[in-house]
Amino acid sequence: MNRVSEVRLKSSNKKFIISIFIFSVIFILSTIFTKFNPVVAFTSQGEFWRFIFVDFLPPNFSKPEQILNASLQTFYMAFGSTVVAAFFALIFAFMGTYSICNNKILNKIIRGIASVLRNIPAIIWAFVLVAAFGIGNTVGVLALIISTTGFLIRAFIETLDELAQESIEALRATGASTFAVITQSAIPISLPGFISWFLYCIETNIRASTILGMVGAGGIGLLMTGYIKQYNYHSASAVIITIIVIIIAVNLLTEYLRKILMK
Amino acid sequence: MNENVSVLSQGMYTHTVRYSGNKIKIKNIKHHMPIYIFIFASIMLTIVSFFSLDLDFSKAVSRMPKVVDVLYKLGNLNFENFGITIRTFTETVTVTILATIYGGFLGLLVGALAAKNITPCRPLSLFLKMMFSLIRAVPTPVWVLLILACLGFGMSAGIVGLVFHVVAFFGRTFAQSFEEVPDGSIEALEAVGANKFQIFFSAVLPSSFTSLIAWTTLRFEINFAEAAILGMVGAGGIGYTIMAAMNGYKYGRAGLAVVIIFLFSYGVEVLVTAIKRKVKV
Repeated sequence: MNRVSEVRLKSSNKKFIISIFIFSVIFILSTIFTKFNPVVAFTSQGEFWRFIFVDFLPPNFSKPEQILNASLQTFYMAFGSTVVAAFFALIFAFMGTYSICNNKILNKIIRGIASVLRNIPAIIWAFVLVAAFGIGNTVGVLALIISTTGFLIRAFIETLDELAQESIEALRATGASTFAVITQSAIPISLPGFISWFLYCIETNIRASTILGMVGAGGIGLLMTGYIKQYNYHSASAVIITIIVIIIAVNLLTEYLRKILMK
Repeated sequence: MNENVSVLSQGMYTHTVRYSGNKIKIKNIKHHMPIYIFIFASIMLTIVSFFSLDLDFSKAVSRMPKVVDVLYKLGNLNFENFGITIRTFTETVTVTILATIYGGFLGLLVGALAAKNITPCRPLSLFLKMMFSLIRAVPTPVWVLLILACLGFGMSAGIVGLVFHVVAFFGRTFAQSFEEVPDGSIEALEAVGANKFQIFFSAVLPSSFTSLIAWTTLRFEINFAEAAILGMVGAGGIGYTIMAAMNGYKYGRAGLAVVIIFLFSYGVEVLVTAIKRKVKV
């Protein structure tokens, strides 16, 4: 082995040992702080299974129309807010990327707003909005729109920067207007990427909207929390099973759409 | 030569574009037809959705001053009981860290068992993949509620509840990364008589390392957001502080907690971007 590779090996070994060390310290400190004992968690799983099989199962589907109604609400909430968010995000993404809107200050402002919107979880937005609007579907829709817009702005900007930059510059060089650049180059090239992110957001928002109901934002989560608070676990398990079915169905649907749209 | 450009490798679904030769892509209506139909259908469905939800837009608009008022009150940061806020925040961070670590190791194991190219038996791989989607279809707070029943209120329930989701997430994504390892490098080792463990540790793991790191950092960010809201179901953490403060109309305290959540998650985002840039080079 020659000297150079030996030195390189040593330095990468050193880095490896340092990362393992930092990692272990963080792990030990966290374990001490939370007093988390995985063995106890593993040995006390009997109660968990009893809870599932005795308290929760079998599910009680005695009010199917109520469950169906709530699931439709959840689906509408997730889908509608994702589309609205994608629309806003598209406009802001064009303002946030330097290759289309060459105003560095505006770019920074857009990116900053997006990062505030997406780094605060949707459910916390819902909390804040419930204080202003009261309990209802409006809160769920607005909370989802806010956090999804933040997420999609970043995703769209990155898609534009990675994919369309060269062709945008090429078109710019011919003297095309900004509008022409957007419609002839930026949108057609990044459209599959945009759609892919849009479908991803549909999936996450379906999940999120089931949770949002727990803080009073309507939909199937509200129904589930209601049953749990009344200790009506058999009806709650019916709602949970419905949630599982909805989420798996939507995942299959988006997978299918991805296949036919991304050819 | 084909050059694969992996767009946003941190996303759930990486989407690959091939530039073949020196062709420049031009706008092609026919090629994009399914997409235009899809967009049109989405807009229609959105209009239907908003009508069915019976959203009261006039009421929403009339309540706007109230939103500004609430945001203003939240912005009026209140450092009362700051010690408790910091304590619950530390709880959330440690829950995030432990859930990621335990989930990561378990996910590595189940991911290896579920990856088609290295699994000891095919039916096991199919079964595991079905389990992953089943587990992930149950929202985290529901898992935590179930686990609270056996572990009692506290951070342990939060950790275990999150680990359920994390294992299913890593199982799926890690298996996907392992499956992307070229067959050639596995076959080469098989040819010299290496056993399954040797193949995993000397071929599969090193060549999928960068994508494993990308998935882990993405999940860390998601875990923090999930851990931050677990307080609502009694698993402690900063979510509990926010809920208690909002219910007690102490908006300033809630606002401070929200700011702390934002700063941490923004910091993680910056750090993750830096790590990814370093690992990729």
